[in-house]
Amino acid sequence: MGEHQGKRSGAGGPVGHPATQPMGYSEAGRWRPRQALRLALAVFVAKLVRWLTRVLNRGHGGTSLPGRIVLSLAPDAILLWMQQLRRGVVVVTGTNGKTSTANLIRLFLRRQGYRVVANASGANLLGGVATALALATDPWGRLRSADYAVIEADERISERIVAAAGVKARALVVTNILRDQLDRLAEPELVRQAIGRAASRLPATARLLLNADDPGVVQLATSNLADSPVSSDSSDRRAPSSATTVFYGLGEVTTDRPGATAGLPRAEAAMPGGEAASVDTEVRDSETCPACGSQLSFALRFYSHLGFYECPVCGWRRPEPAWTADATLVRCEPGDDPGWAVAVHVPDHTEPVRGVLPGEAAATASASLPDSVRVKLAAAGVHQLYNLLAAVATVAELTGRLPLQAGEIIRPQVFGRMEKVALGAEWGHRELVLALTKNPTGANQNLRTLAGDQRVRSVMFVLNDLAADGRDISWIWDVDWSPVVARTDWTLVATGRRAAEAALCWHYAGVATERIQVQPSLETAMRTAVESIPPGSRCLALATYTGLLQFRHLLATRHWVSWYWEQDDQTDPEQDSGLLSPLTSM
Amino acid sequence: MRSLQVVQLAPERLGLYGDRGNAIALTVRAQRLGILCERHSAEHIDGQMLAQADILLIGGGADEAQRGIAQEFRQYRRELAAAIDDGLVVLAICGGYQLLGLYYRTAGGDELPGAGVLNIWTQAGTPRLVGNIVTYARLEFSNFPAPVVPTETALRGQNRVRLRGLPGEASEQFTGSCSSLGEREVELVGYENHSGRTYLGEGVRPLGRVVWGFGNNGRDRTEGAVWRHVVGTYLHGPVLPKNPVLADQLILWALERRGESFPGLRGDLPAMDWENLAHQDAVQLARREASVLGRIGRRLSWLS
Repeated sequence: MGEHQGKRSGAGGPVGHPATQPMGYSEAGRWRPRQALRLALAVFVAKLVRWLTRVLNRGHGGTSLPGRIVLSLAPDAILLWMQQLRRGVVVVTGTNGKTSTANLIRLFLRRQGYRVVANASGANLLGGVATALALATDPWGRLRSADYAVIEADERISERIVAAAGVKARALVVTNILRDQLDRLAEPELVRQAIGRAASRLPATARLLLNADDPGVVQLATSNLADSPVSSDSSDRRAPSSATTVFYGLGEVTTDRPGATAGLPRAEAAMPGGEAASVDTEVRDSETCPACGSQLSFALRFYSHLGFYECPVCGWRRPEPAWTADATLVRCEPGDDPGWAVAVHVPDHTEPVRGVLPGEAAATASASLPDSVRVKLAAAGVHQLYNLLAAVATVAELTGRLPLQAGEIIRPQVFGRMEKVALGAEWGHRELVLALTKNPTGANQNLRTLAGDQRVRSVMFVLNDLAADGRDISWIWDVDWSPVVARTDWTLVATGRRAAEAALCWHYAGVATERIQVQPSLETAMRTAVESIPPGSRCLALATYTGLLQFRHLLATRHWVSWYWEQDDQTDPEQDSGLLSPLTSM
Repeated sequence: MRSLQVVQLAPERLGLYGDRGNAIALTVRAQRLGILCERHSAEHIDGQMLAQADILLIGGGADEAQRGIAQEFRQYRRELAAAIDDGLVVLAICGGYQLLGLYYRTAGGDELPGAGVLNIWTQAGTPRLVGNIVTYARLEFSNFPAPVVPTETALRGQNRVRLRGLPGEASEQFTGSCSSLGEREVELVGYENHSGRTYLGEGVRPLGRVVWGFGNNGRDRTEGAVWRHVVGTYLHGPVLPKNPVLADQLILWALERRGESFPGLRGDLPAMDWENLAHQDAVQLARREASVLGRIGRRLSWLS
């Protein structure tokens, strides 16, 4: 069912005290019986609801309903659980790349032997966070077995999550701030202020990981703006964050084709498929200098407004990132889809985040790190590099150990983020590429990544306008559809609540009418998109959030993909017993 | 014949809500009428740009960006007013619409002056007015009595007292039943998302009357403003692709100004299938949202 009730749970959910540090029971040092009983009851109900939604196969697996029930019975549940964690909380926020980054962080922490709970399926409002935590608790509603919670938080609730984590907050990772779901989030500026409030609540022991290539994100490092005219008249003044700020950003990014970079800015040459971004068709936000308000000039753009920038007037510029990576577009193995050969450069002064538990600091502080490590990333698109770099930097800053092994191939496979689904023999062994698409920048990245893929022969677009998708669909008009127009061999199928608008948008962009089909039913649309292409080829399926859930439901009933709640459940063996059969364990 | 020059003002700063689609729609509709059309974007407003443009598109942006643009508008107010007097076609959406007005009064009571070429003013308010909206609009304004030109004194704000308060004339124009489409009225549909409440002064007519949704201020059931060939509206989504008749109207005005006429144009070029479908989908949504069941349904949507 996703996060249909986004606005309300985001605005009214009582998690933590806004003004003071949440203390929960950790300060008192003992378990309060009434609180404990209430929480245990709430968790029991939540697990029961989860079990019911699965048995009845309703509501997309209940990724947020159980959590909302918990929060209505025990409003401070998230706060209590976070205080019970052995090590702490990692919060990932930003517009795009949250889920992928959080999943990599979860994977890396597990590799290092930590037990991790996470809201992995992308339900990132309070209900989703509470669900993920509730289902990982023991029968008494306690979350004592987990070391870390990796929370992917929607921008609007990031402050609540950080406040609830209190001293347990270890890292806040900000991926980027782009234009997204304007009806809920209003403007990028308001999003930045919301994340800024979250950052200001971090304890001094935490790390604030910022994408140095996004000027909007860099503004969150308030120290940079201490003496600037804009910040002084800003209506939303906040105390500067006491956490240590760590920047990450890309370095040299090239394709392997010789001469591909000649005559073009490097970032545009780096786009797989070679479709260089035309300058006046791409949407960009945060283009003005935060210090003096003039237009920033970009020496290099990776995509949208992410790149190497500088203010020509006052000289405000991209900070030198501590964590950086060079990448070359390659095929990881012969026959693979394009991916990246990545060299991650490690800063020489990495100090792990000190624990608040006695003895913890000594245990982790002694590791020494190599200067750089080379790996391969089996995923195309520059945004995937950011996800990897952010995750590596976060985990290394937390634990003092590098989560990568030299030469390994990392294959991120995240629910609906460029996820490849092999259809059965009945469908001629064709393949679906599921891509969550909810804002113009994400759509542009997805299209560019696959425009050069000769196996892709059709595109379908599930365009919904429910609350979780963003009710305003005007963003589709900001997408650069030129890869779709250029590939005249592609069949285009629109479906979902606003299918006609998608078709109109394609038609206006210059796609011939014969190539466009509108199918109200998702299953018919999929059949049309898949059966019109030769066996063995691929269909790119773009979908908004609820569209993706419907899609997943359709595919899972045919056993082509696992039920996506199983993504949340991929925790450690120790926890699985208490998690998969809530009723028997009570 | 010179091709039609469509200029989008500062698309990077004032293009937050897919307003790029309006420029695309004008091009496509013009092409279907057999008229050549060129799309430009202008980073700043200036005399040369105003002299060349046939249709000027002004979108909405973030508050910060709009403040910068407002400065430019004031600087080139004389040129802008002269071009509008001359019949320049302007489509101003949301923030751009507010910017053309006399002032925008913030919640704190500060008045941020606008370009002052449209006799409207905006007051910040809560809650934000968000949702799908359907209005019935009268196009072909040339048949209406000649609009009253806002005088220099009015623009300087010397008779602000008279301008404030609810506009009597504007609301009278569009009272009555909302249920059916009136004579010479067309249905417009879009998505509104604004916290400003806009009120119309003398001489400015509302673009339409609200059927489902909020409109200018959520009170007098008016939506948008028209003065000469300037159309201001809160409808985005974007507005022109789904409402090709409004795009045709803008093109018609631009041609009239140049002394060119196309007899075929007044016969209403039929909308294409996708345009109709997209329009109907959005209208259905607005109607469902506005119905009692729709309101209950939205409250219960998390149960689904």
